[in-house]
Amino acid sequence: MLLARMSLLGAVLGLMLKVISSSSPPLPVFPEGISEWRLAERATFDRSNLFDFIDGGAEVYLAYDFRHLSVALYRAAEKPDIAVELYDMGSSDDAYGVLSVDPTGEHVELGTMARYGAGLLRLCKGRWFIRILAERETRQSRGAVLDLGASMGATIAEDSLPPRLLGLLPKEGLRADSATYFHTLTTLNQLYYLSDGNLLGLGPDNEAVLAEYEARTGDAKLLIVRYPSEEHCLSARDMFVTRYLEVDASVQVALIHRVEETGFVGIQAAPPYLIVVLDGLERSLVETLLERTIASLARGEEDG
Amino acid sequence: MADHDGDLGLTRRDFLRQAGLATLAGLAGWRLLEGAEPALFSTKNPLARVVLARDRNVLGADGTPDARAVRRVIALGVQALTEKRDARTAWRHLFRASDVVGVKFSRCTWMRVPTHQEVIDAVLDGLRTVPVPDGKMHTKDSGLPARDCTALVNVTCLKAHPLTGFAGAIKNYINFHPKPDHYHHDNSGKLGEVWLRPEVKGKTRLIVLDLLTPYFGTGPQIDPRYRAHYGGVLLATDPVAADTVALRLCQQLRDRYKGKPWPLSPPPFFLAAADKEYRLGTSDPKRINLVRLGWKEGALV
Repeated sequence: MLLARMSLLGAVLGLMLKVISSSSPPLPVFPEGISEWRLAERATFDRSNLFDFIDGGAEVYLAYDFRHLSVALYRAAEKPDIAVELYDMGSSDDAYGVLSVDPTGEHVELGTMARYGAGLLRLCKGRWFIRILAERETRQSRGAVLDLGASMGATIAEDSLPPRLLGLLPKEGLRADSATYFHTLTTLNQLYYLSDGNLLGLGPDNEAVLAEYEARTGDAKLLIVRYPSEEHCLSARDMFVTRYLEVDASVQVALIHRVEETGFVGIQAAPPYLIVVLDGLERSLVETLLERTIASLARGEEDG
Repeated sequence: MADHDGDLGLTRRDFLRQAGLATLAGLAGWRLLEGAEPALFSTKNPLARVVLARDRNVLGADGTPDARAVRRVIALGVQALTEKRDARTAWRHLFRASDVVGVKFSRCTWMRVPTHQEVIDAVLDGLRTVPVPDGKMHTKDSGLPARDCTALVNVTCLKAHPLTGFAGAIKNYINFHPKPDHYHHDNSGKLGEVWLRPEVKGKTRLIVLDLLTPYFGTGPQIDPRYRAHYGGVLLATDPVAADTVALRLCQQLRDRYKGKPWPLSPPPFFLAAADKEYRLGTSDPKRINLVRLGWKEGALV
């Protein structure tokens, strides 16, 4: 399949193949081979032509600080092809973010956040997000995929820590592998459609996390946005309250409102943070989540 | 600063409140606090007929389709769709030997969810029984000369999609527009518009939705965990009805995988617009007669 893709784009790729310039960040090394697989083809893309590689889906990466993509194809006789995609996401936070759009999967020990499932390994280390996909999962291809991940990860000196904002999520009730770090409306709508307009004033300058919570009284979603300024934060709160909750914007503290279509919604500004609880079946759960988040943010600020 | 200023558009609440859209939201797995589960696929007063044909043996253990089984399933499906006595008569009911037929499939190599070649080949075999000569069949994804065609067959596959919610029959025609990305704006609500382009309008005689291994997961690239061995095809003449059934299936596959609701997001606005604004067919599940053939286990719709 990837062969077909490579053939299809062959002429275009010929023009796009570039030598990585000396000003680019050090590129993790693609090994020449793993087990019986050998490096067969390579291509590179940047923000200007990512659509040539992911036609109709590049927006998902462009919603983060995507810089550069290097693609490699490994082949072995009578074995499934293995495709490696190496994304420079500009920062370790954004590398983590793009992986966290779907944080589920088998946790594999590669010294960094890594998830495996059915032939696909996704991992992030430093500013790099790596996808390694075997065209078909076999015992051998699984081994090769994991070895490739380990090998490439070992060439990356940068550390990977989850974005600080994730550490501010209240721990109690947080569903495992449910938190996504992001910036823009594109990603939010992929996770939880709120509006086609930008009600929360999201953009590349803010950080946001969306996570799921479980409680005896039902589930809810918690959204925390850290804005670049208090003004942005309060403006977003007012917009959300008037346009989405359709109530008076003169709210000064926490507001919990029953939205007949989706359950209870809570919102509270603690500039520069805005906290929104969505889809709460019970008012008490929304109240508790807001309180716990405020406390967690306060502790986080104290800890620096 | 903000990535989308200006018009604040349709909110989640608006979507759930508007008649018609709420039904769609229910099909897309959204929790409706005060809405009942939508009535599905009734045979009373249908506006559209959709055939789901499945075969347990159409896929090998490694997921490779059996070409003969695919041909058999599609032949049965076309026959049931047209209610004719045999497949050849059914194909002749839909196409004439004088037709120039465009077979529009989906390559989608970047996402690795293309229309299976076995499905495309089975359609071509069916057209040959009309008989449409090979020289009068154009089989392509992009660059199909729709202007030269008197008839079109829409042969695509079902996949969840990060920008449109899901992709099926309606979205398959996106590249009849010279700038396909144009339709990814405004929540992809205008996707149906491409069906009204002069070179396309009114030419689609058959829709074959490849459900051999539908993709129901997150994007943009494939994650093989979210690929179902479903072993079916969906046949229709109404693209909106076909996509409405496909949407329901996609959502059911998602919920089954997670063991809890896993709503599609963003919602497929284009489907409601294709019905209400572009009048391409019906998205009302109560007005769709779904005929089910073959393998029943795990059908989900």
